[in-house]
Amino acid sequence: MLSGEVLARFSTTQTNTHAEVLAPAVQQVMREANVAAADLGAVVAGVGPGPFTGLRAGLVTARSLAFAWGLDVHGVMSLDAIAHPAAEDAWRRGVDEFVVATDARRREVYWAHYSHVGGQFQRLHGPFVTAPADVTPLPVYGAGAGLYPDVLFSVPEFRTTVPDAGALGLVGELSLRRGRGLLPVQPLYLRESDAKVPGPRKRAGTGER
Amino acid sequence: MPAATDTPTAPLVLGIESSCDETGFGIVRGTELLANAVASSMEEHVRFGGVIPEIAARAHLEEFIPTLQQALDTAGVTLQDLDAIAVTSGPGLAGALMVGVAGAKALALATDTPLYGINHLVAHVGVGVLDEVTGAEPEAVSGTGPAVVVGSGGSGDRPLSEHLGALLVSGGHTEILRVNRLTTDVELLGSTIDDAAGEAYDKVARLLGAGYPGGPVIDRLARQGNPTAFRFPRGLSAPKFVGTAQEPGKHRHDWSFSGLKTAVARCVEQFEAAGVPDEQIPTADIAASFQEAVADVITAKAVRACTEHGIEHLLLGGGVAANSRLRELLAERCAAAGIGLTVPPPRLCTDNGAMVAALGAQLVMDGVAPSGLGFAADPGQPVGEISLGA
Repeated sequence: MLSGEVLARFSTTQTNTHAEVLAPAVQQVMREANVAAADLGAVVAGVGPGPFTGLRAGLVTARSLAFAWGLDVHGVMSLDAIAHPAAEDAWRRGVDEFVVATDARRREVYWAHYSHVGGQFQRLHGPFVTAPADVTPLPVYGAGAGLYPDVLFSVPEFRTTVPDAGALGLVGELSLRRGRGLLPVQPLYLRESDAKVPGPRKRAGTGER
Repeated sequence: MPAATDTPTAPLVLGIESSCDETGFGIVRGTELLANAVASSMEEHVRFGGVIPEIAARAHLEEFIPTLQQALDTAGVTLQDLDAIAVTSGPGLAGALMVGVAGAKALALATDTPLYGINHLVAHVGVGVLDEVTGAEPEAVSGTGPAVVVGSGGSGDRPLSEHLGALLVSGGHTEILRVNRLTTDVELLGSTIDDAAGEAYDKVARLLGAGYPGGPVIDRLARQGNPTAFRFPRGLSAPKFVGTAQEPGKHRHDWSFSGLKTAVARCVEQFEAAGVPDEQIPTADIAASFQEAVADVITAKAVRACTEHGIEHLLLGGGVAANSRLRELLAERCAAAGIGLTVPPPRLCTDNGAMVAALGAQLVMDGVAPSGLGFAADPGQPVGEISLGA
């Protein structure tokens, strides 16, 4: 990422290989962009919301790279990476407010509510994780809408869009220049672990109760 | 990445462990331990009575950099000084392993350092080469938790015996291994077919309302009880499972603890059904009898496996190695069978990064090729896979 231009990017549609492909992908994009660690100004990572295991792989990678390289590391809310191109599209369409939604599995979506000023997004509410029916009724950008076409007003061109590291980097760079919009590199899980505290063990009956 | 042509005689290696609820970073120079920083999420699991994988994985992410920093500070080295990095790639909890593996890869990539994805179980054996376990470093042996070296086989100029076995007993594992060569040839002789021994401790502790983790609370409770009060089953000890040395049964060197756990549950239920109030149930006797059954069957089978597989020296590892009765009975039975026994200090028996670093250094010194950056965490990594190929 340099002055608003994406020099190299990597993405995979495999949802279960983050831990394997991430480091080689970093290697690959740095080679393609012909960039060394000493050339970098900061590391930016999408902090979710997103499925837990992949999110952690991303954050531990970003934190470790930054630690070893002595760079600052920043978080960007992952839905903002879709909001970035979506805001421009909404502006062209004359749409004032919109929603970005991605797949949260379990028949739910991660989503946030945006407006825009001259094609640049502004996040109004969110992120949330809810059933599609509970999403604010506005045009929806992102793969979350494509999954629930009966419930959400999907924008067809963005029906399968997922957060992209290139767009994420652009948002990060823009935020760094503006001095706002960056988040700590903390995961936005939005859900607790499913574990339930076990109840008291049932005592064996004496027949008297 | 530098080629393995100039192999350092005492490589500086960082070891990373995240297979369960401990985030561990250890640093060794050859066989000298420089740092062993461990952060545990154990407290967060107490209310569940067992390790919750998602909670453990979340904690690994938060502890990763702070624990690494702590290890580097203690050792007085920087990432740039390292000759290699080793990380536990399995076996263990998938989500927990992935944090360590992804982080290790990023560190290796950023510092252009060779990376080894290594076996957690073999790493437990790897601590056996550290100076403070072999006794090569006299001051460490007088520390708070000295290594116990009993009998023959542990002395001399070779840090590890030629005919070495390892007994690993923890909340996740119960295994007996034969170590033909630490870096390339380790073989599984037997393991639990259901619960790990430590898991049985946790479940029985919960049954008795004694707390968590089960190991120390049962150990404490058992000291006030009579170990012969109840006769609990020793799993897989029937002739049809054991067979003979000539014609071994299918589970000759295996363990099973699920039947034992059920037997303890039935025992408690009988008191309850008879209307005995909670405070009058003989929990200390039950705990002592349970602990006796566990220690008896583990040590009997382990010593038999050693005898029948030419093992002359046994190394005990895993969290349950801290159990007083297991240590006592194992020492007694090893001595009787003429088998040497090494029990590393508790902080090196429980999960830690030092053991990963120790094995990593051995791999470097033996000229084993690193694993590269493309490998995956393997929750079921077999013992024979000591380090992953590139």
